[in-house]
Amino acid sequence: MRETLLDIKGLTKAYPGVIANSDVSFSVGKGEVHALLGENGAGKSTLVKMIYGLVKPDSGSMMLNGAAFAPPNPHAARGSGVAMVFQHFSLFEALTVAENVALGMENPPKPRDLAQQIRDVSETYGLPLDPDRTVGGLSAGERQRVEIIRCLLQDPRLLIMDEPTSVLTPQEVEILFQTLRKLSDEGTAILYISHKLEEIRTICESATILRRGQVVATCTPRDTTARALAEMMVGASFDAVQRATKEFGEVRLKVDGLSAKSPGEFGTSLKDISFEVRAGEVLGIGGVAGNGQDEFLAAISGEILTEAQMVSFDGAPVGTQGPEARRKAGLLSAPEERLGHAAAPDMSLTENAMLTAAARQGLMKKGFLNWPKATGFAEQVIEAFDVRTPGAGTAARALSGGNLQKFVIGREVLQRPQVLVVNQPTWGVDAAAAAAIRQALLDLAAQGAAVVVISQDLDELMEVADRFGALNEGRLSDIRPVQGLTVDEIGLMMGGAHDMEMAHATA
Amino acid sequence: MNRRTLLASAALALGLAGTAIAQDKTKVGFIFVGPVGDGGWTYEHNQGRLAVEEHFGDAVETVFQESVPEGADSERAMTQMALGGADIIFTTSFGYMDPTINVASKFPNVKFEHATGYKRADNVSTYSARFYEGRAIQGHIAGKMTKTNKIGYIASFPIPEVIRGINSAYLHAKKVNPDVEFSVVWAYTWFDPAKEADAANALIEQGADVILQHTDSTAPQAAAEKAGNVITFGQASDMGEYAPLPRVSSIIDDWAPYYIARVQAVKDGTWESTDTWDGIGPGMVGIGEISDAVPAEVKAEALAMKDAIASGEYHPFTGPIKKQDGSDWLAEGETADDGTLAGMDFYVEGLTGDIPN
Amino acid sequence: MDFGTINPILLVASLMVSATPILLAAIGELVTEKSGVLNLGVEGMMITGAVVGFAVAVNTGSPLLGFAAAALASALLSLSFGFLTQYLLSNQVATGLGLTLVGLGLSSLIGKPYEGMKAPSLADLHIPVLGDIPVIGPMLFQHDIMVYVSIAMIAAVWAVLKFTRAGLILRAVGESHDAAHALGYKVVHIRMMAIAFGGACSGLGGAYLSLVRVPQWTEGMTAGAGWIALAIVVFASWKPWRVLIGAYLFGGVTVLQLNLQAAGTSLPVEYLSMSPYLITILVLVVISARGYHGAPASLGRAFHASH
Repeated sequence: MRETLLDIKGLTKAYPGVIANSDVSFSVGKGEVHALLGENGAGKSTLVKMIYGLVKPDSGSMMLNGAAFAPPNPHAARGSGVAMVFQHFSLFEALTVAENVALGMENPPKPRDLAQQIRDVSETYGLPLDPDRTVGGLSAGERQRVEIIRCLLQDPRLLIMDEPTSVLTPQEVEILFQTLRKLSDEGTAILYISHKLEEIRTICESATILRRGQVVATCTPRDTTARALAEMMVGASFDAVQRATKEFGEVRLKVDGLSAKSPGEFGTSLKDISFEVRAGEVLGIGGVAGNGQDEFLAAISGEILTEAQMVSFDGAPVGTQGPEARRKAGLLSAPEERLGHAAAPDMSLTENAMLTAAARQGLMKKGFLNWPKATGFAEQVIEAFDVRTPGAGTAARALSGGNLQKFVIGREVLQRPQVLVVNQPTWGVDAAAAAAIRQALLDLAAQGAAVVVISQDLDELMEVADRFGALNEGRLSDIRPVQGLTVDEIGLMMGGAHDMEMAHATA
Repeated sequence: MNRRTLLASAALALGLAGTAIAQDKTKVGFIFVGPVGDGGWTYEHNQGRLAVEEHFGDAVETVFQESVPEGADSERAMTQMALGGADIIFTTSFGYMDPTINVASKFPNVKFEHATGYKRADNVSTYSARFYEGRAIQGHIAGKMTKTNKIGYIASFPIPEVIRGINSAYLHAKKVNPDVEFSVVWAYTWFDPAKEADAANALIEQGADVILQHTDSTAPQAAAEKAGNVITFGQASDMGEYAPLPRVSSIIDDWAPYYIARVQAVKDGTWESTDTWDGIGPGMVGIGEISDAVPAEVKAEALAMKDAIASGEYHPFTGPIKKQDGSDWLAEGETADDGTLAGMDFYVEGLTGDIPN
Repeated sequence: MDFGTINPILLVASLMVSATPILLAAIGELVTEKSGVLNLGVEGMMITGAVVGFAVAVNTGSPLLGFAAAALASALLSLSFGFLTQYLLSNQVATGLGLTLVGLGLSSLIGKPYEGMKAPSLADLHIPVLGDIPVIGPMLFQHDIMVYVSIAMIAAVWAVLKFTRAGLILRAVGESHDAAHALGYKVVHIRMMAIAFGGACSGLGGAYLSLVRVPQWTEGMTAGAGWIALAIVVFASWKPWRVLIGAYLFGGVTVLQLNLQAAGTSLPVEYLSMSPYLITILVLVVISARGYHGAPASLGRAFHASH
């Protein structure tokens, strides 16, 4: 048994209307890799924010290394040896790597010394990084290295990692795990937050499972099956996704030599992408975030216009048509960013339904909007996809991420598209709902639509896709049948471990 | 003026205070190009507005909007005022000419009075003052008093009213001092104290020791005072706080009698579209006190000229006068007709530089 | 071009004076915007500074006290903007425009008794040795203290943003308030300080107008200088030294074109008159054409700490 590092007793935190954490107790030993497992909204984020000093608990206590621990702010937490690698929101794109690192440190050394320290640590742990580069130009994996190095420079006793592998290729995940094991051997405890069960079974020694703000179980992941873990997390058994055997029809979507410049400053331009998707087929597009996924979707949806023949739909070139014309014809899409891109935050679900479904669902006549019909359609989506909301009049902003995701996907699926392109369809959605969304996509394909699923969740792609390709720096790999594809092959298609081979060859 | 567009639009958004419904009261609106505290042009129009209030008491209600940029913004301001129930609206800058005509066509029952323009309609009158009469007197004093023979002139926009003033001042300065030279600087603003001060400084650096201004703030007065040994004239308002030096005299606009008469006409139902152009005689143009800095004999000559103009005995544009290009304009003894003056777009002989388009 | 009768010494000297108000306002706004706050109320804060500075200088006889009071008054005014936008999360654009209106109204109220009065003048320094250099001395080293304060301010802001941790934190807050918050920085506090700094600088700029450049109090006397300052910050890509270049170019070309007119140049006045805007924008766009020059990523966005 390890010596206890962090001991949490009865932590409770309530927000108006929600109890985020209720009487949560668990402990983490020195050098232990401890998983914190739970669905979205189970209270994992609030819990780690309390440990990191961002949120104050209503009641309960924490002990760190045998002393009472109640950090009033992250500075204090860092001072006590707690460091955190965030999933989102903690890097500054316009600043350099060194500046980003300095911002996360209590007493950063002089810039020149800091740059040297960054080089030293990145060499020690096999995480190559140039301190002078601007973060905006880094890949997702490199950005994570910035965060990790920022933490390591402070010799943390407890390292909190929030969903660290969601942006990594399998090879990069393997390298990360080596780093974590090394840290663990050196005595650093790691609190590892994830919903990826296989990963947790691989790396974690123990797991605390949260559901609706409460600890429902503590277990040793290696001795528990992934399915049992999932059921503890969800609190019920759920249907596994059913796949119909199918035959493919005509080519519905054809992309030929697609090249397009990214409209964004830090975006990725698309380079010579070609593929076909047939009726009834699901094409999975993998790749680490930021390798052109957004631009890829935009070029197919019509947000980025290209030469006509670069995108063809049912044999007709549509590259020069805008999104409205493509929607009308039956080429639909659902982008990744729910709030602001897929849905207008301050508009009601009915209005959001109107925005994309007006043409195909006949919600508009001679320029006039048929609101009762739009409400009917929105309610149909809510019903069919189990969107939990008081009603169709609720603002999109008011829905939880998972519920809004269900609405956004459902809105497109129910329009019976001939081609549907979705980016990250189950991002932030709980396991049961994710299964329902995947099932809906498969059903849609079974009815004769061509479906393109862009995702960073490889398990998801293996589950739904018939064929698989990966985006890497704006280029699409060869497309290969999913059957028989190995993880190593997938990793190579995704570009391997971005510029890490060198470091490992020497390490 | 574009720089103030944003600001004025925001001001418009706040709306015009006090658009209460009061049918029995005559509602009188004013659109001003500068702030009422500019100490010059807009200040005097606002004095006219206050005189209307004092004269009619509760029988009228006045509303005004200040710092309205010329152009599309002014159209919005006028429309709002007309919608707010104004019976008569005075639009007090040359650049409001086309907007006034446009808005007036949409509100045939509202009377409009546009200052210094030349476009009329059934419900649009024009009125202006013969400032050039005052400029003649300024020119005389300037010509007599300059030691460097360089006179600086801060002009605003190249419109007939401003060009008349330059010509009139130049003719009378030249008459008493053949060596005099005029430097004209176009500021392209009616009101921008900092820029007006810069323009005055630039002229002073070029050796001018008299500054005439056709912009509305007192900034050139302050610049002249700081430089020393430079004389100035008040514009539109007396600017008496700079007397006796640098300000040695001034042209004062007095709009009150006209405004009162026109509002009375609206109340009586006798209002008609007219073109009024009054000068020193009827009192629309006043000459501010000539300070003791001016030698007594020059002062006497200036006052004599003022009386001659007031009585109609002397017209500041009396031939022989040639245009800048050397062609004849007025023959010996001939006086300029109002039509030519109203559309004046040329310099007289002897002035240098071109009038911008 | 005919510069014949223009005295270059006087020209350079007067361009420095002419540029100082915009320079002060712009460097303050740069700091505010670097923290991610867009305060469009520069015009209102400048004119408040102009009237308060004038009034205090007249009453105390000390121009320096006038400047201090102007900075304080405009900083207080800007904090009202800060309170509304940072704590009550009101819209920054609308609140900024409102601030301009408030400033204009307030200043005309305060200023009424001061119209036509004369302010005590701020003495020109005669910097020993440097001021005695022929030509360059009278050009650069015989100005009033505020001219040098404004240049020192540029240098200080540049150095703080580039070399200090405080500057790094300020930039970080402007880049991503969510990330800065996650790391434990007090976003709202930092922004309030940046807003107050911007207000104080605008106040100094306004007071410079009413106490040195014009010098008098006239209602509405800023006449758009605040908007020019805002534009210069953008065209200077949020870089202090470029703000200096922009403000001096704008002030310089304005003075130069008026001088060219006064000297009777043959260049068409229409072009001269638009030249300050054109040349300033052109030069700043050209020097900003290369490299990263985006706005602070969180500029104008409301920050609310979520749980």
